[in-house]
Amino acid sequence: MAHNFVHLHSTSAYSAHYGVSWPEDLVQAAAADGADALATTDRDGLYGAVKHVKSCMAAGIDPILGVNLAVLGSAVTQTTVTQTTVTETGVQQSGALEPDGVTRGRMRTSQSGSELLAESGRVVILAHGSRTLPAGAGYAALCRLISVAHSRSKGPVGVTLAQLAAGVLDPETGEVALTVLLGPFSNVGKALDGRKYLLPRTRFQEWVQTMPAGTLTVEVISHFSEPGTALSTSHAVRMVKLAQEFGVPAVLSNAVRYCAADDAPTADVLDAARAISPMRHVSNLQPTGQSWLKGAAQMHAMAQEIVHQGGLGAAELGQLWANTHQLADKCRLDPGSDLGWKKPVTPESEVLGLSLESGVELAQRAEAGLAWRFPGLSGRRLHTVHERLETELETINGLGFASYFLTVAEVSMMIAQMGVRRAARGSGASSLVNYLLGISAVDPIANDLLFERFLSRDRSTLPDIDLDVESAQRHNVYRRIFERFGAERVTLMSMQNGYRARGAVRDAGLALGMEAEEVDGIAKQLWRFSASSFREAMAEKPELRDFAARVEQSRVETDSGAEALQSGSGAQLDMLVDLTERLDRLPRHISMHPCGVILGDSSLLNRTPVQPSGLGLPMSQFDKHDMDPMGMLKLDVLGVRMQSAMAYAVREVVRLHPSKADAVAAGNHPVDGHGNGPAYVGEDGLIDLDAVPLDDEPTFELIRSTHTLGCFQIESPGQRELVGKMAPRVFNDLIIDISLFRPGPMKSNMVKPYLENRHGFAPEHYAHPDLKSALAETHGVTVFHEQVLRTLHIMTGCSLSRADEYRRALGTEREAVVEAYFRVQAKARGYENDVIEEVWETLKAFGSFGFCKAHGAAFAVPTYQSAWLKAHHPAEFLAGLWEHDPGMYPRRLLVSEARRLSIPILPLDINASTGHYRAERTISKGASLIGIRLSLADIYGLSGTELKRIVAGQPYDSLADLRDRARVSRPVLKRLAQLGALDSLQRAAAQITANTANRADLVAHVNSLPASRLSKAKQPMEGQLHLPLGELELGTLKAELPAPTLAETVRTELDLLSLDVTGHLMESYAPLLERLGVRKAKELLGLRNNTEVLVAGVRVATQTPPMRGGKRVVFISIDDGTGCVDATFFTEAQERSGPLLFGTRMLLIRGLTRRTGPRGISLQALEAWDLAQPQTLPVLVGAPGNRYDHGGSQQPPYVA
Amino acid sequence: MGTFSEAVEVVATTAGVPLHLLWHGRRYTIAAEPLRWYERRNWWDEETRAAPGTGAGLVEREIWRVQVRADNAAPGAELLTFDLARYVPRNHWRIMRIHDAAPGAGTGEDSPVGNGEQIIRNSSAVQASAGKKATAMHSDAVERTGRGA
Repeated sequence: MAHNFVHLHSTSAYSAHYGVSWPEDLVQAAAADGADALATTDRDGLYGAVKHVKSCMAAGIDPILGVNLAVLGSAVTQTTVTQTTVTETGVQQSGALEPDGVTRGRMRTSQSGSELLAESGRVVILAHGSRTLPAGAGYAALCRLISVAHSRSKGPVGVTLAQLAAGVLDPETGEVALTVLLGPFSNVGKALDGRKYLLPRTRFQEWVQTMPAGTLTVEVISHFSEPGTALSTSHAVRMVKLAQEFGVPAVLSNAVRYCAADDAPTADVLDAARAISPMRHVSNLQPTGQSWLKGAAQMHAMAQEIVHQGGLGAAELGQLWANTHQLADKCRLDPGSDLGWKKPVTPESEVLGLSLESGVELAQRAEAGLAWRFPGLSGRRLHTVHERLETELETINGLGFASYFLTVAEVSMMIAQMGVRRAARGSGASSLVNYLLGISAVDPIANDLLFERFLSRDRSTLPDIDLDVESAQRHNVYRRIFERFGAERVTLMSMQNGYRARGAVRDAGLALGMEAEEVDGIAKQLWRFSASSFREAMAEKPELRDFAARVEQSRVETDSGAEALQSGSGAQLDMLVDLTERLDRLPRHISMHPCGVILGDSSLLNRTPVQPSGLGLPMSQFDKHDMDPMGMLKLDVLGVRMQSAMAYAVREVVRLHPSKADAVAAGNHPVDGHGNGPAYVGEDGLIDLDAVPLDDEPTFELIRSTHTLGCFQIESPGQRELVGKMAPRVFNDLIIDISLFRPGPMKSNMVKPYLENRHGFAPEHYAHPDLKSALAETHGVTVFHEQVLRTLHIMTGCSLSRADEYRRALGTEREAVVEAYFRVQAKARGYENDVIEEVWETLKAFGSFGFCKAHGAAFAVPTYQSAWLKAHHPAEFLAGLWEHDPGMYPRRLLVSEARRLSIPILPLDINASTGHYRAERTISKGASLIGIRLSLADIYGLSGTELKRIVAGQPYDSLADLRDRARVSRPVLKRLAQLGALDSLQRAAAQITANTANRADLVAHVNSLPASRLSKAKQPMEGQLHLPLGELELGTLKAELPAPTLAETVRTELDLLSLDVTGHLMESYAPLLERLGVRKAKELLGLRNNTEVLVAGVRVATQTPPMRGGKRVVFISIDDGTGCVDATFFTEAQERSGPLLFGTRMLLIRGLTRRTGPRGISLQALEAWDLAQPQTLPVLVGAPGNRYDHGGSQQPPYVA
Repeated sequence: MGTFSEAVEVVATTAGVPLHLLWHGRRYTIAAEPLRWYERRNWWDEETRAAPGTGAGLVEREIWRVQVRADNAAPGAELLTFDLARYVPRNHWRIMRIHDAAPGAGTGEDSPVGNGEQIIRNSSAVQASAGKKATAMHSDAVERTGRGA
């Protein structure tokens, strides 16, 4: 008889560490079984709700939304609390039922005011749809209730009974907006799983009395666990009978956690991951594997079994079934009217300060921007600009997005007024309106950027306008946005963090109870592939070869029965791989998105639940994929460290050179005939980076030298190679360079022909002369999205905006449609078959991967600016890099770069160092130079408050002075001494007393000082001066220890500062390297192409950029103190190097030199060894040069 | 894995409900409505693989409590109570427990099954954990599995 069944309780994978299946899979399974609606009820939020609705719409069924929330009650007795703190695992459990009562002490408790709250159970709460309520009222009540559940500053997420009772009604009409399902996981259900009579009834009574009438329903579930236990059929029978007794309707559900029975083990693994405990120790795993999305027939059978066991009849069965579907009907949501599906909402015009209709206002402001951006423009060019503006405004207003642009302009202006550097990034740079409103700094007409790539009538999604701001100011910018628009209109966007291979293998290992170290060792070998292809990767990837062999071995052992079933042994490796694959991509937690801010009107918090972010500001439970469906306006305000580094560098320049003349002289900037510096240097020495002309020759000279470490976008090994080959001369070259270094161009082999044509080695080639206008700037090679649009436009006659839709279809299943259209239209326009064939091949290879020129242009600006700073103010720029650490390399590599640039690195000094890396004047070898003073901030273990005290108390005249006033802990004092920060005090004292003690003696002395602080009473009173005995203390140190060696000092620096300042880490390997005949990085440029060499160094970067043909190429950069060597490992070299590829820090590499350009050289690696394992290194026989032999015993033979 | 309990041949209906047992050369017929539930397995110890697509039946085993009478027994002879486990997907059956007396219908609301249960084979890991469970069933505890592992 079973027709269709609607599941009202179903958890998606977006319930982190709980749900197993994706919303689309659940929806498809339900629809396939004939259901016409499905609920999603994630734990603690609507994390998967929008995806669920989307899937429901695609499947043609009605979405139902709800949440699974903890209900909080006061923790009963004081003893409970004590016990709780002891047994608290920090993990909330509700996948299985809690034992009755609180004496087991597994509950989370919290102090809320004076009231102690603990989770008493969990309930499902469903939103009612617009059949019984004003549209959206049920959904709004659900959003607000969830936000309330997250509003406690400490303690468990959940609602009290009182909060729930207040939240289930629509405040406007007083109607019931939400239904609460009291199921086996509720405190009533938990009391029913034993033989107690009174407790469940008392609890139910409390619910009935507290909740408004018509909001309660009993949820009946059997997971067929052992009779009498939780989630057994007899438990379900008791639920039905209790519902009858209280006259409350009962509905049937299955508390779905996964799509199919196959997924049940995954739920166990997630339970273990949530409990941070091996499965065998998790006490409340699901009792059975029955919580899958059962079909109507199975649900009906379940209902029959319950009714039968309870001695009830067909009437009760029919009632249960009917109740379920009546409630489902009440809760069906209409995406349009209930959720505002796809209807963009922007802040109200009064909030934006608009006096006119938004479209008119936008047109007026853009018009006003014309005079500012294009002063003195006239005639045909002015006409062009006007025409473009009209087209853009027409599109924007046609889509109703005017207020969106005005909102972004408002934010952009607000940031500028804060004095924070900002730059628009992305396709927003294609818009003239953005340029005129000051949102973007790139002239889209001069740079030939197409508006259609950004926005068109053919696409109604809100465009992305992204703003880069100084990373150090990002949080302040967010706070200002909240202040400016009001907390009811703003929330941060969240992001889902899913399992990737490493995290998955770690948690799978944890669940199996494997040794953490062993799992860690395996995890380290996993490099950028999805967990679901683990087994495939084991077969293919050389670094997993050893692991694959172990799995194979364990299988043999298991089969032979040798070690079968021994937990913790190799027998689990196969299982580990399987479980890792199962965890693939499952969401682990949500976090604040790195840049998304959601702006809406005053109804925003009725449309998204919010919860606290790490920042303290509220964060939406929706991620970026949910924005467009929910009509939410998302602004990307991205913190960019490079912007902070540049702002810092500019401040350092003005601090050291506080006048225009000084700054101009220091930066060697051009002067006019009267000796006046350029306008972009202010009278006070302040440089306006955004006003620096884009044609500075020293800047391009620096870029061509490939010494671009620290420069935005062009510092990676691959980019250094590319700029070396390309030798950029003008700004547009930078745009092209950045756009070429992308997956699309790399894969479709655009780089080589482009370079050959550029350098005139090969003639430019155009498939047809008509395409010259589109492709000339890149010598006939298609690089930009814009060029694809123009190519399609030229050859098919379609509009540019249509062309952009076709471009988006490339590489998708819709590509065939585009191909057919292209071929037919191009043929109709008279193009020959071979032309069509060639162009289509190019378009197809380009896929949807290429780069939008507007992106490239937006990126090229900070690229140029950072190179400009490096060319003109290198010390200040490096100080900025050090301070804000924007790059891909570790800070220690900057030490090498500073050495190469002859910029002195000034050691830590208790009186000269601050909490920042500062540029500082210094005398070196008789010349006045600018050096960089190391910062105290990065000393290991130095707390923020200690740092503040030290800096506030500077200068110090003695050790005692430092101890008394800065009150640093003894370990920190010792570290300061070890790092030489106290050398200046020691030197000053030694000058007076002629003491000969060294740093080691000082460290020993500090070590011998009493550890304990003085008690409050014995501390010197404020203002009391210490006796001037400092000189005595340091001046009379016993000189008895040998001074630390260079190697010891370097080790100390690495340990405590993560920097090797005094000498390079590699220096201790010098004798070994000399024996092996290893070449220095700086020598390579002088070698002939294709010379075989050995190089050695510390790994500073590893990259696996996408490559033509899909073959993986691994770039490993090592630093040996004289510079970087960029080594490229192709397949064969990867095979030879195996497990060393990703885990090893100190590498010896054999390879062939490869010239990459006039100033560039890299290494094609042949093989690599771990320097830290000397016994595996190739042994040198002859000296010097390239003659080696294999003399070792177990290492692979070395063949020269 | 499979060596601790005892294999048994079961004839079941198309719906999977046992009808007859073939055990030690005798045939037994179900004489009362059987009771079915699921119980957990420590699959991570008992299995070596859990590849996606092979997970059904991994975390639980299906248990049938059946009351049977030997086909050739005298009318009115006492019923035997067995707990049988069915393993999917191979659909083989094993005897987990044999009870010496009928425990009653076992469906009564507040009368947990297991009263009067006696375990007659107790020589293996599986049996040992079943033994623990038997104890647990008498207490009010919910957490039933993997506890002592």
